[in-house]
Parts: sequence; C-alpha cells; structure tokens
Amino acid sequence: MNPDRRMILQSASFSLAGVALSYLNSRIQGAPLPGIGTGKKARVKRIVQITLVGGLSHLDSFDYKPGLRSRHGKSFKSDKPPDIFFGQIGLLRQNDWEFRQRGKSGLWMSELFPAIAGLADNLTVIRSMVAESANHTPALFFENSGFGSNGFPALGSWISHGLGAENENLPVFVVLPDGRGEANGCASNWTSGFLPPGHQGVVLRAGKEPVRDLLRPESISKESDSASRDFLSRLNQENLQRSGFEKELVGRIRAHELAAKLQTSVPEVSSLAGETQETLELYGVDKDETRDCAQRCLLARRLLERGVRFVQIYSGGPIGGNPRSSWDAHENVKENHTVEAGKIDRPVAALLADLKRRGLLEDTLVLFTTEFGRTPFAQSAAGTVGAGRDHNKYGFSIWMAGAGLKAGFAFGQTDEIGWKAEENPVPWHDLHATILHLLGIDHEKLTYYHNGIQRRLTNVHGHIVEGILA
Amino acid sequence: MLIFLVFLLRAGNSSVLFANEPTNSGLAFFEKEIRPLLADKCWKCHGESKAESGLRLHTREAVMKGGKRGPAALEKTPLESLLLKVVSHQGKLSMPPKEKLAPVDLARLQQWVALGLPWTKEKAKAPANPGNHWAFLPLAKSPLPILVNNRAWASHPIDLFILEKLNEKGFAPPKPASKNAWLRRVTFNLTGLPPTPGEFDEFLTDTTPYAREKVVDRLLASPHYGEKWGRHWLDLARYSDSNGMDENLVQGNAWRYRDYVIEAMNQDRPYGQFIQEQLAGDLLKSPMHQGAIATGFLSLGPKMLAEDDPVKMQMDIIDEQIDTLGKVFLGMSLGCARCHDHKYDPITMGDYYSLAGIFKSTKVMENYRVVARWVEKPVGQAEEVQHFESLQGEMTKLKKDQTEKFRQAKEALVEQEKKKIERYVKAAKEWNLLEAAQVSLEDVKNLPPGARVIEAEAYTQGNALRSTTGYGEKIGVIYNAGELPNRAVYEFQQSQAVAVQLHIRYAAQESRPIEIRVNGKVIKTGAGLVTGGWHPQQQKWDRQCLVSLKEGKNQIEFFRQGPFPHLDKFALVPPEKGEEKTQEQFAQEQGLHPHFLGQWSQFLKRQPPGDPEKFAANPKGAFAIADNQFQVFAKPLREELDSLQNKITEKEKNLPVLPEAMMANEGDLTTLRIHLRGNHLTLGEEVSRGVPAVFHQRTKMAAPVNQSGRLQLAQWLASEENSLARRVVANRIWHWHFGKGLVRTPDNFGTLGDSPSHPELLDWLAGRFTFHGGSFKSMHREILLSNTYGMACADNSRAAFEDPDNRLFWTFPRRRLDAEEIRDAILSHSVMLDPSMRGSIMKGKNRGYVPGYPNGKYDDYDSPRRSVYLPLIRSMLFDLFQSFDFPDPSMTSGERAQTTVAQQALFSLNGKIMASGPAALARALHQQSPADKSRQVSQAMKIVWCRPAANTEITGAVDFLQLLARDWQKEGKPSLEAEQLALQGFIRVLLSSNEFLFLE
Repeated sequence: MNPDRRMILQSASFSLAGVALSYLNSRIQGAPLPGIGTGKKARVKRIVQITLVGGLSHLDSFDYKPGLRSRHGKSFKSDKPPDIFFGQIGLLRQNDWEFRQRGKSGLWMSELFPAIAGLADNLTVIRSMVAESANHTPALFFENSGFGSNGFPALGSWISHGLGAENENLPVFVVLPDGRGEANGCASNWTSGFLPPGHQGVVLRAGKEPVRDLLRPESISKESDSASRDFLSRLNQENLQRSGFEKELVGRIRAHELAAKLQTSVPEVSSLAGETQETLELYGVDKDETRDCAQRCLLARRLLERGVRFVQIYSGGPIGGNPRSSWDAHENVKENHTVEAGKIDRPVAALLADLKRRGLLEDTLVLFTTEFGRTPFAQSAAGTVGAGRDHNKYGFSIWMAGAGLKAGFAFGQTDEIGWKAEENPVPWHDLHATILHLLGIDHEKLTYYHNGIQRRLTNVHGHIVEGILA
Repeated sequence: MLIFLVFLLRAGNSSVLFANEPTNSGLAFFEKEIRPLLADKCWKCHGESKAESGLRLHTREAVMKGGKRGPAALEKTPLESLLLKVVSHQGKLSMPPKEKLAPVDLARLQQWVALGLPWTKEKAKAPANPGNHWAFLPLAKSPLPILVNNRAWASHPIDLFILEKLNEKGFAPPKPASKNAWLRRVTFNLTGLPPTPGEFDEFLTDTTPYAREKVVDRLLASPHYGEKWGRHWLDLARYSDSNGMDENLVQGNAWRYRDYVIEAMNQDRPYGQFIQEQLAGDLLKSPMHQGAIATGFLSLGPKMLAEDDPVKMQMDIIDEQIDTLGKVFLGMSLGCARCHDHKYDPITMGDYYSLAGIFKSTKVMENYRVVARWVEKPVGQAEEVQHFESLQGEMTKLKKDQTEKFRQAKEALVEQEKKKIERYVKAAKEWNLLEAAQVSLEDVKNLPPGARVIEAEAYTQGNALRSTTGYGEKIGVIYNAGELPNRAVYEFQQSQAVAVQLHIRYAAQESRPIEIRVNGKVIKTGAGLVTGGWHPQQQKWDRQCLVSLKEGKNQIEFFRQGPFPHLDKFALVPPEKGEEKTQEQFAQEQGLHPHFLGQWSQFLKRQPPGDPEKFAANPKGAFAIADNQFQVFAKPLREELDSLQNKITEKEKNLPVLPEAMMANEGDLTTLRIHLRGNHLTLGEEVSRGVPAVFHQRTKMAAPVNQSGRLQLAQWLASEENSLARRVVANRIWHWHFGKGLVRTPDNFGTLGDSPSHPELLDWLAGRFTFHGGSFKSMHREILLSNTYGMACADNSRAAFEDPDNRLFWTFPRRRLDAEEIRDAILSHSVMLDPSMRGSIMKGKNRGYVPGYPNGKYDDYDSPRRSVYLPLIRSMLFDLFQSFDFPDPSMTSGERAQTTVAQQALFSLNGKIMASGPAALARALHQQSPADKSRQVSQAMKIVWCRPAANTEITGAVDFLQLLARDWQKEGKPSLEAEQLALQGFIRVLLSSNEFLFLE
C-alpha cells in the first residue's frame, strides 16, 4: 500500500487498539470448554455423518434374518397394535436382497451396498438401534438433537460448543444437504437451539457462492473493496476508543477479520479443481447417478482435512412428493432402495477408503445412520404380501467406522424376524453419549444453562455403549 | 486496559475483600475455573454419588465438613487447608492419586481457597413452603428511598431505587447521555426506526424544559410504535406464517393476529383486556368472530399435523398451548409437569391436567386427521356482516322449506312402501340370484364384443387430477386434486337404447365408495372395495350394476364428497344373456320401488343375515332416503325439490367470501385424567378444570361446569391481584427498554429463575402498571423520562469489575440493533421504506405447502415494507433475520440473543440490501449538493450516526471518497459517475460501522 493510501485508511492509534484486540481475540468460535473431559484421551477429532432420510430397511441391508425368509407370507402376530405409520399390516415379507458374509470378519451384509460391503472389515454395525418415534420429523429431530421437537441444539452444535474450532477460517459444523432439497424440518435439523447461534450448522451449497453473502457485490472492484475494509476498520477503531474498548465492539471488529478469512478459505475448500482424475472417478463424480453425493463426499473429505469438526451429509430430500426423493419405501422397497443406494454406495465407500488411505480414519469417525428402520411385514392389505414396508422404530441398524471402535464387528440383535431389538438395545441418547465419549467428552459434563435448566445433549439419559469400543 | 488487568490481579490476591459474602466476580471465577476443575479431577471419587474416605466435594458445605480426615478447608486459616496440602503432593497423602494437578490449576485452587471458597448458591431445592417463593407473594409496597445520597441526580422515583443500590456499592451516579445519543436511543426503542435529520434538528435546537416529553409523546403517537412493541409481543406469541414441523403448511390468515397485536399496541389496549382477548376473545361480545381474531394466539403454535395418533396430536397441541401461556403470562415452565411433577416449581401433574382440561374443552382444530385442519372462521366489518347475514337468512329459509317438503314426501312414500315388506324380501332374493349369474371382468381374458371402455382421465368435466406417473405410472389414472367434492363426468353417443353392465377398474387402499349417476340419476353407490394399495399393480375390476342408456347423448358421472379411489377406467358391457334386466326394470315389473329394492338387495347379502323386521324399522335401514336423494320421488315432486335446490345453490354461489381467521372456540366440555408419564394410554386420577393449586393461596379461579373455563382463566391472569403475572409484565417492559430485565430470566420466574436485582423497584413498577390501568404507554412515559433511562454508556472500570453484568444499572447497556431495526434503518436512511401498514405479502396459498425450491428460502424478501410484515416461515427463516439473532418463531422468546458471528460481517458488506440502499442514498445526497463533497459526507454521517461529524472525520472521509473515486476512474468510469459510486461506497462502509450497528 502506498503511504498516502495507508494514511487515509488507517487510524493513528491503531497499535494501541491492537493490544485490546489480541486480548479479546480468544473465543469468537472458541477453544475447548474446560471441565468437560472424560479424563481419557480423545480417540476422535472429527466426524462425518451420512444421514439417510426416510428410513433404511435394515432387513434388506445390515440385519440378516433367515427367520424372516422362512416365514415369508406368514401372518405377523403382535400382542398390541404396533406404532407404525399407515397402520396397514400385511403378511411377513422376506428380504429383497441376498446376504453374504464379507471380508475376513465375516460380517453379514446384503447386495444392496456392494461397494460398502467391500469395506466390511472397517465397519462397526449396531443392529439393535431403537427410536422414540415412528414419525419422520420427530424421529429425525431425535437422531440429530436427542429431542423430538425443534429448538434443541444438534449434535454438531454441541460439539462446536464443547470443542470450539480447530481451524478458525472455516465453520466448525458444516451441513451438505441432498441436491433434491432439504429434509423435513430443514434448518431445524442443524440449529444451535439455545446455544449461541455461532454454533449452528453452516450449509455449504453447490454453485459459486457456497455461503451467503460471501462475495463482494459485482459492482465493487477488489481494490476498492479492500480499501473499504481498511477504512471501516479505521472508523471502528476510533469508535472503540471513544467507547472505552467495549467488548462487544471488539468482537465485531474480530468478526470482520473472520469474514475476510472465510472469503478466501471457503472458495478454496469448495473447489474440486485440485483433485486428481483418479479421485474424482473413485467417488463417482463422473457419473450422473452418483454425482451429487460424490461431490459432497469429496467436499466432506476436504473439509475434514482442513479441521472442520463435524460434517453432515444428507441422503434424501423432503418426505412426500411423488416419486419419492428419500428412503421412505412405503410402496416398493426393491425399487426405492435400488435407486437410493445407487446414488450413495460408491461415493460413501470412496470416502471411507480415501480417509483410510490418507491416514485420516485414525482419528475420524464415520457415521452412517437413519431415523428408523422398516417393518418385517409388508405394508399392504391384511392377508397380502405387498412390495413396501412401513416405519419401524422398535429395531433397526446403523454403522460406524473409525478410531476407537471394534472393526468388522456387529453389536446387538433384533428378534427372529427383525421387528424389535432384543439384545443390547441402543437408543439415540446412548449413541450420542458414545460419540461424545470418543471425542473425549463426558456427555454429563457438556452442559448449557438455559432458562433455568442445565441442558444436555442426552437430556437425563445416555449410557456409553461399551460393547463397541476397542 | 492495562489498568484493568492490574486491578484484576491485585483483587485476586486480596482475601480480605471477599471474606464474607462472595462477590459476582468471585463466583464467576469459581464457575469458570474451579467448578470444572473439581468436576474433572475430584468428583469421580468425592462427588455427589461417591464419597471415598467419607469426603465429598460437591457443595461448599461438604468441603467445609470434610471427611474422615477432618475439614478439607479452614475458613480462618485458609492457606493451611487440607485440600491444598494434598493437591500439592508434598505430604503423606497426594491427590489426585495418579497425576498431580497442573501448576496453573494448583495456583487457581489456592487463590480460590484464599478468597474464602466462593460457591454459587445451589438453587435447585424447592423452598419449604412453595407459596413463599418471592414471585408468588403479594406486591410489596415499599416506601420510596428518599433519604439517599446524591439525591439531586434523581428526577423520578425509578431513579431513587437505582441510586440506592449504586450508593450501597459506592458507585457514582451515572453521567447523562448526550442529547443526540438519547434521541437515537429512544426513537429506535419506541419505533424501531432511526430519527430523521429533521427530527434531529428539531430536538437539538429545542431548549425548552419539555423537549424530551415532546419527543416521547410524538413517538408514542406514531403508528410505528405499535409495529415495534407489537413485534416484542409477537416474539412471545411465537408468531409465524407457517406451521412448521412435519407439515409446513402456510398459515395464510395468521397475519390477522399480527395486525391485531400491532393495533392493540397502538391503541394502548389495557393489559387485562389484551390478555382476555387473546385467550377468550371469542367469548367476549363482538360482531361476527371479530374479537376471536386475537385467539389466534392459541392456535398459531407448531402442530404435528401428520401425527397418526389423533389423541396424542391433540395432547401435544394442548401441551404447546400450556407451555406458551405459562411462559408468556406467568414466567413459569408448566410444560414440565406433563410427564412428572415439576422438579423445582410447585406444579404437580394434577395441576397440569387441570389446566389441560380447559384446553381440551377448547376447539382450535377442525379435526385430527393426517393431515389435520386448524379452525378458521369468517370475520368481517359490521356492514359486510349484516349483508352476509341477511343472505344467509334467505338461504336458511329456503333450506327450511326444502327440508319440510322433503320430509312430507318421504313420509308419504315410506308409509306406502312399508306395507310391502314381504314382497320386497322375496323380490330382492330373486334379484340377487339373477345378479350373481353375471360375470366380473376380473375373471375374463378379453372384453366381450360390443363392450365400450372409457379411460377415467378422459372426463369432460370435473376436478380430479390426471396422472401418468407414480399412482398412474404409464397407464394414467385420476385421483383427488385437493379440491372437494371430487367429480368426473363422461359423455358419449349411443345409437340405440340399451341396458349394459357397468364395470369400474380402480386401486384403493381404503374404502372410498363413489356415487354413480347415469343421465343425472343416482344409480347406486359403488366401487367401495379395498384393493390393497393406491398403485397400478393393485388395480382391480369391480362390477357395479346394469345401467340403462338412451339413444343419443348419454352422461355418466362419478361423484364423491371426499377424495376418489384411484380410478383407471370403466367398461360398459352388453349383458351376455339377452334377458338381463336392470334393477330398475326388475323392480318396476314387481310393482316395487327400485331404490328400496336396492337396499333390500344389499341387506340380504350381509353375513350373518340380519332381521328383516329390524331392518325395515331402522331409520337408516330399508326405507332410508338420504337428504338430497330427490330422484327417489316421482316427477312433479322431484322437480319442485330440484328447483328449490337450484335456488339454494345459486344463493350460495353469490354469498360473499368473507375473510377468515385462525381462532379458538368452545369445544366439547370435558375433564381430563392424569396421564401417567405423559402417556394418554396410561391414565390416572381425574382432575377438575382450573389453575395450579399453589396460586389458590391468594387468588382463586374456578371453571364453571357449562364453560371450558378459558374466560375465567384469562380473567384470573388479567386480575390486578395476580402479582406474579403483574411482575412478569413489569419486568418485560423494563427489559424491552434497557435490553436487560430486573429479573434476567424474563420467561422463568420459578425457583430456578433469576431473582430480581431491585425487588422493590420491580414491585413499584408492577403497582404503577396497575395504577395506570395496565397502560403500556403510561409506563413508557414513566421510564423514558427518568434519569436512569437517560444515562450514558459509561466507561467505569471499577464498576465493570465489581458488577460485570451491570445488574445495578451503573451504565446504560449498549446494544446492537436487532435484525428488523438494521433492515428498516437501512431502508429508512435510503428513503426506500414503504411505511404502509397491515395485510399480508405472503405468496403461498392458505393451507398449502410452503412455497420454495430445493435448498431454497422463501424468496420474496425484497419488499420495501417494514420487517414486521415480512413472512415468517418456520424452519426457513429469512437469512438476514437468522444472522442477526431473530428468535426461532416456534417458541416463546422473551429475550433475544445478541451474538457476533462472521456471517453478520459478510452481510454488512455484501448483503443484497447493502448494494441498493447505499446507492439510493448516494443519489439523493449527490443531487442535494453535487459539488460539495464535505457536505455530502457530513450529511451521510449525520443521517446514519445521528450526530454531527467532527471536522477531522469529514476530512478523513473526503480523502477516502477521493481515493474510491480514483479507483473507479481507473476502472474506466466517467468522473461524475465515479463520484457517485464513491459516495455509495462510503455509505456502504458507514452502514457497516459499529457506530451504526450499536445503540448507545
């Protein structure tokens, strides 16, 4: 900058204000909170969660039930009316995909996800998940925040609150919604609730402006824009001195610096230009079917590499509509799951393999979850075997992969037909407690005082699922 | 800054300062550094749940009491405390056993013990007599503290209360704010808008003693006042234009409630009346539901409209109403008691279900189906309503005539036919045998020759949706389009009269029988099978009946009040055997009425068979005639009834469409049983409708047997005797003026909430509010003209240290403009603001799904209307609102967060409005004084900052302007345009500056 320009744009007492700035720099996004630790070393530094919207059929993917096959076409018996969605109980329906044992571990997986099945030895499958609701919106809220109504902070927000930023140039919690639209509840799924709004999930979108208002107006040149920032900084410094270095005002000055950093870091991380052809093909960026998910999985890896703590990738858009744009296979599981799995199998497997070969899986946790499973009986008129399945909150499967877990391992069991979790049922609160535990956080200590209540992600529940820990 | 740090260190080492009562900073130190340390390193073995060696360290009392080895800390000789010895790992006993604490933690622990172990009082225990909680007690009438020091500072009783506490701490009375800071503060505070330059000049040159009163009166009379203070109330009322949750439907009439609130504020509606209108406006006298608009308060909340359990859906809606009402009016979280007695406040499950009974007896929902419908009813002005009612009256009369004629005709016909019961039974048996011999198309491979097949989607009139995807994949079907009743009409030519068998092919997951009309006559109600699903693979052929077609044009119509089954096609097949007859022909041959024969025929098919005598006697049985089945009657009568029907239909069509509003009405009166663990399937004892017992100690409320009790509940909340409700609102008013309340948890006055910093002032304000008849505007005058409101944003390091939260109000709390103020101020400064009031600019159709596109936001926020009129979509809040801490419109919010995030900075420089706003202002300023740059910049600063600019600031700004202009010229812009763009760039910076964003 030439001296003339500098004189106009900077305040004379800049250096004095600089002292105040560095003092108060500490926690805009922040450092880890004290006193929340488990006392053990954190096994995991960052998390990527693939969230399947609509309800994946565990019976056709991760929970092998020979007993269901042998009872195909038999009637389903239950002592009381089950809480499902449409309430139509057809006859029992066998799995639509064949199961095989995989890898050295011999984990049972179906043909639905062939690429992921190739990595079975890395997976920790929980086959005894239970959900609180058989309704999409509350069930998804439970999965994300541990509560069935909106207004409670998401898992990613709690992690942001607890651990703060590893990379101050990027958000701590990033959300990558399905290209077909946002899931039921939209932003309520990644809200920071009563935590300060800085902890909410930041949505990165496709296109040249992945974050709102990221780019300067087209009408302003780069030079003028940077001059304007400098002049703004001068005005703010002068105002700060008149106010006696008020903390709020300093915070805002700092926010402007962070914003300037985002303007460089976000376009950099979002651009896939530096990725090799091999990587692009590995994820499936080149294929129409997989492109949307592939781009987001690849972006997730780039974000994780740069220190983003929590990336959530959605598979599935809004519930409802015709044809379906989620895993909600009421009409026909075979048709629906074939299409949906075709979109994500390769990209998700690629993400897992890529994290592994880069050594990132050693301290990254991969989560593959869904809000509930599907019923062993068909959703059709009594006495018929229809092609669809209804919602099942009583038992379903998810998988995890990464540090601190028993790999190539299945935990928990459902009953003979895969209707209810029988052995080691795992509610979301327990899974949340375990995830925090892997991050080195005690779920009972990570709290926030709000309107008279010391709030927790796990409310008054939560037990660590010791059985899956390595 | 440096001084501040030094002071912190010195104070930290001085144990004398904190010997008795722990100070806020001591407690803050404990909370920030010590509690986490204890939790992390000690409580696992010495905590609430475990006491190794008899020692617990989870409360201050436990520390002082100690374990087997004696007290862990000593009050008189703190540095000799056992706790400090063992953690230093120098004696026999070392703790924590495995690893020594970090030096910094050791130092902190030492410092804390030296301070006298300041420990936050555990508030978790409910007081012994719950009714004695401070907030439930009657208002205290304390004398004004007139004997305070520095009394000259006080100009108003409020000042005396504030001064008294400042004196106790030895804080000097605060300095007054500058005139311009006060004007900017009070103008935003009352109207949410900045003062105009004209208002600024007028006030600064007004040296009369009443200058401030004049400003306050002007602002209170401005309609913008209601927009600002109404918005405060809308934060509480979780106001939104969409339902949110699983079915995010447009609440297309919610805005009438919003406009009601704004108007009520502008008219200074007394608070008691305001409460009653919102909870029970439908029960107060007013024309045509007008007053019920306010009860939208009860139905605006987020509702799980696709909950498949209707009882649960209703209880969830009631819970949301109770939770909202509790927080808004009483500052109590009553929702906790749905599943268990409140842990901390004296609210039991019985109390909860008492209140819930009132709302169970109130109707806000038409039904609880998936997707459920909320209640909406017409509202209107007096003349409109008069006209509407007179037309309605004429219609009622016609309907009455019609009903009477119908009744007479029916009686005559039935009396005559009832004599033939035996003949009917015999004939119906015969007919059923004849019919059974006919075939279903489901069993034949090829349609017989001469059959006519008509695709359902080929209708000529009707409203069903045609689809060739999904439900109609590849083949095409029709189904409901959302508009009811469903109707589809088919026309075709026939070369000669003939009787044909009608078959319909359709798919249905539930029974949806349709009315089949041939040439205007209802032939039967059929096609009511459940085929197993809605999709093509579940379609089946279903034989209906023989129908007579005439020569020439024929018409077949399908009709259903509700939605159709998914209709694929129908076939008209000539009877295989020539002798087949229609039911009508058969009946006529037997001298019987075809309508009744049809009913007998159905009756005889029943399994197990019923008793014919009973069927004949049943009003819904053999001789039933539905209310508009006029075709049953012979010609003159039928025509007469039809023509009456036509007149009614005509009148109905001409009935004006009155606006509708969401509202509550009285429902079926009921009492509830306690739901154990909140579950409606496990019920306990029944409780009568009413308010929680704890409030009965001083003020009673009983629900009458013949009403829900909503009105009585509202009157109880509105009562001057209800000290809790009065304290809550007094605190809210203070909070909305100062940004912080006297009680810092405005929505929680329970035992876990904050205690008032100035209890006497709070009660004085509550009493004053009652004295003024519940007038908000009178309270504003009291508060705004006080010296407390008029104080400056001070820079007082001693006070900042001793009272960092400013509980004593030693400074006016500096606050950032809120989301709406920022947007409205930019529009206002840029002379772009459209000040028109009322109405909706929501794009979506009422009850339709919220319009949007994938990943999109509701995209119509460019309107120049004030922010309070922008649509609020749950879970898709306007970007700008979201960035600047607008509260989640799904729940009550008495306090807005004030955060600082990078997104705000991005908006400040790059947001859409930051391009259009500055451009407009730059154009205006440039036009006013094209040649005078100093004037341009000083005007801009005066407008945006509301103060005269200093000479140095003007020079600096002009330099910057020229620098920007040179940049623009380098970009190739002609000099005049470059100047204007430079001015625009300067204004963009001004509107991003802290001095604009913050209110002093």
